[in-house]
Amino acid sequence: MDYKKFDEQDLNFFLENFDRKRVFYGKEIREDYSHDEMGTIAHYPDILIQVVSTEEVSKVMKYAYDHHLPTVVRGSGTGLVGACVPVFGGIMIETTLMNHILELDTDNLTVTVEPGVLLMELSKYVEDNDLFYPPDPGEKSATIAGNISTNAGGMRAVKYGVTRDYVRGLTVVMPDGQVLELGGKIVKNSSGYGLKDLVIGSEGTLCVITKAILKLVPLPQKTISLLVPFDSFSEAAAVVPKIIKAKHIPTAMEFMERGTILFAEEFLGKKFPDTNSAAYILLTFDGNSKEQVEAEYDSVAHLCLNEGAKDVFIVDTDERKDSVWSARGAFLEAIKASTPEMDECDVVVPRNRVADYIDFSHDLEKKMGIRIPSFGHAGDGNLHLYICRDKMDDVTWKRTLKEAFDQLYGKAFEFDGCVSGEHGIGYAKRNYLEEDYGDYTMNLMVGIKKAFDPNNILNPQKVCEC
Amino acid sequence: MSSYQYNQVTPEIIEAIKAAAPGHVLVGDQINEDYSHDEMSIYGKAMPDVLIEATTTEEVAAVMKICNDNKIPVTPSGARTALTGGPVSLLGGVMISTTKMNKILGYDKENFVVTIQPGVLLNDLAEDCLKQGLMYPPDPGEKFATVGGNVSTNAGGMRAVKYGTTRDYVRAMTVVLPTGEIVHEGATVSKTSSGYSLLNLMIGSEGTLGIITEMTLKVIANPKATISMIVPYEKLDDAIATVPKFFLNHLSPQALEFMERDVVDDTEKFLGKNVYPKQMEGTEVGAYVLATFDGNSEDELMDIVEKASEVVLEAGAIDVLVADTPQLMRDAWAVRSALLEAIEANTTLLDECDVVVPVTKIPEFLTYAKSLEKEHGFTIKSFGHAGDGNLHVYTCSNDMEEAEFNKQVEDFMKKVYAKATEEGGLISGEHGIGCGKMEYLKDFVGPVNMRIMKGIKEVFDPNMILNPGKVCYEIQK
Repeated sequence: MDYKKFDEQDLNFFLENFDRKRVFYGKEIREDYSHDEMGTIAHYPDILIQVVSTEEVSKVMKYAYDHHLPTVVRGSGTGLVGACVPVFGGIMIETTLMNHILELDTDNLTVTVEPGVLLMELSKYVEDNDLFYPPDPGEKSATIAGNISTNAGGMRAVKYGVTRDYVRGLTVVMPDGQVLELGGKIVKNSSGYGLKDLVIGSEGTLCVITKAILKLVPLPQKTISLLVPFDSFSEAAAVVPKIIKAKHIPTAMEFMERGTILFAEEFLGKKFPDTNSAAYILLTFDGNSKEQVEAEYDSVAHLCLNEGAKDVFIVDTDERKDSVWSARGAFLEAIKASTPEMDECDVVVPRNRVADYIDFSHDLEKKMGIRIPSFGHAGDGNLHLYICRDKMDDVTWKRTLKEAFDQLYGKAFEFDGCVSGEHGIGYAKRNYLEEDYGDYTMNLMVGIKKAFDPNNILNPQKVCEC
Repeated sequence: MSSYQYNQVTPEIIEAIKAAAPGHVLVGDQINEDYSHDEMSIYGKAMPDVLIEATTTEEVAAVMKICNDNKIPVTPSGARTALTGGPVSLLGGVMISTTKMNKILGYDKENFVVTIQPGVLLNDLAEDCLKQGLMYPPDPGEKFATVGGNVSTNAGGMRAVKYGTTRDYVRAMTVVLPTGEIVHEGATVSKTSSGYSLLNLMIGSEGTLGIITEMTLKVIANPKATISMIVPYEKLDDAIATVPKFFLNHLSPQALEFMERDVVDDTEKFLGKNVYPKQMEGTEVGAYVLATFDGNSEDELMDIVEKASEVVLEAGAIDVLVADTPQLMRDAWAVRSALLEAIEANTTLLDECDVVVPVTKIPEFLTYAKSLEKEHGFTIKSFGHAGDGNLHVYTCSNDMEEAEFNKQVEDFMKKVYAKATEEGGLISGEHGIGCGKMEYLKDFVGPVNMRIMKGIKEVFDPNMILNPGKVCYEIQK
């Protein structure tokens, strides 16, 4: 890739035009900024700018465009596929100081936020106002624009949908610095191509999101979870489509295996309510009254017992809620702590193939002699599988990882699934995306990328290669 | 700016097309005049030279490839109920109709999806789902549109307030691209973050990027019970001011429509029915809200109705009429469904705008639109979706010269679109841009946005043969 090298003149421009306290270069840039949460690739930017406004982003992009400098946007750096890593160096725009909630509109039920607002701050803020932002990805310290950029799904997708369904409007800065408004505080839109929906999930490759208008719903008055133990994973997973088929729509349907729960117990130093069974599903129900929620979970509890559940634990006390959900929230960290290195696969398959898919991953573990702990969203078919390095040497690890990925993605495609449910493609998963889509579709994506970013300066080498 | 050249259909090309779609090709006089326009003929009429009533994806692909190789313009066509000229073959050429591809291919009840061909009518899909105990939530007013057409305009409909728009229900599709390539977008999954969402780009692209030949749609369990309420108000402002109060009180209507008195009067006369109260407790009714709630039991609904009644009465409603029998519900909604038809029947010259504004801005917008009536010399009729801010505003005249009407309308549209923009709204909520609204779209979204859209169009359609002159690509006459 033929970019201009970041030089002294470029540095001076940023030092002169931006607040010195928010500009970092050379040794001033912390190691964190060279990688994301997964750390599969690393590269430092030449300069890091903590922006505070759309105008600043526009100014940075215009400069980058005029001087042909590669530019990457970064939120909290909680990505898992290397999307925010500046593989060619250049400029990094960090959005975490743009963390203001700008407006809560209780008439139109929207909240307008800056891109760097953290998911946990947003949830708390709206819930304090008796409203609800349903998307609930596991990583609560991700920024909202990061969630939008990967179309993150989270636990409640089965009932409420994914991030895409809650984005009403976006303000974006184009690669040449121009500012566009896409969508708005409105529910319906048939006014030209759905550019807003194209930007959602584009992993910071088409433009920079500097403001978002999000849809809210009234806060459900009552929420209750059930923890349902099974003797085997297959039995647990097989119940899920039956629950849906019986027309019950829980807010969340998560599956977890004993091994993963034990890691989380150890990692948190907290006890899980029950660890005697091989597999569990965690179901959550919400509604506006106790009676409504009870009626709903009662019939689902019976259905589970008829389908081989060993018991049904009602998670209604604060203590139980805390122990179950903090364990669920810590799975990724706990698995990470159990091995020196790992990589992940975030496939999504049709809901009724989840059991087959996880069985396949267990067979693969045996066949290859490796560990692939997993957890995931049984209700929407999005699975998170982690291939652990454990004691492998470098060469074996690389070879094993590739083989395991080939197998896991191959199976997902066979089941008509997709490469990624919510973590995105970034840098790490491009090969598998190409394998799934083929040249023709990849070329369409490259064409779209060029329509937005003719000089390919924004987050190059991610998603699709120009 | 590059310009694209098109060729005329020759006898050789017709032969090639006939070989690609044997028995499904109509030429010249065999083509019915209906194929020259949609429901809003004001945006121009043009006959296609060749009409293909396609029956398979492969047929569409084969015809598309011939047209691409020969640079023949192609226009996709569904039930032709569009309102902005989307399915009009401005340059003649080939038209591919999907109305014969009207089969519901099957349900997958474990994944809650249904797979259909594009020419299935909305009405047929809705009824078939109900037989399965399922609901396909999008519910645009025009029930005899094809679902492929609904997807192409991202039609919204009455239930958007609770259930979202067509976009939210499309999981996957098979598309024939302008080059003849067949691609599959999306999957039967509830989440995806796998590259740019070409699926979402196709939705709402009005047949300019590809021809949809199969779709997998999300369905939901049919709510066990529904009930409607007619709520009369003295003024429209009060009616609209009620809308946010529903949500803040945890009431989630599946439909929330507003109607003004004059339009209801016209429609009842047209239908020969008298359903809506005109005067109550000595107060003349000025506007109505029609709300439908759904739930899992009659009891649950009675609680909801009780709470909703409190909310609306406190917000200034004159009274509440509960439509709790199927007959009453049908009557109440029959009037709503016939509003456009009644306006059409009473009017010789008609144009419309389909803006969407934030819900709270509805009264301000409509007051403004009405205030322009006199200076432009036509009557304005409106109704719309109170719950989602999508308004259908009609300019009607029975005595103006057509040229003068068009001139006045253009001027009027510019003003109301500017007003919608100022209020944070958009040009079209669900009818699309077609050719009729392109000029306004340009003003509204600006050159950068238009350039990107055209850039995307060129990526999918290098010869610009598919539905030229629509949405973002202007043809030089």
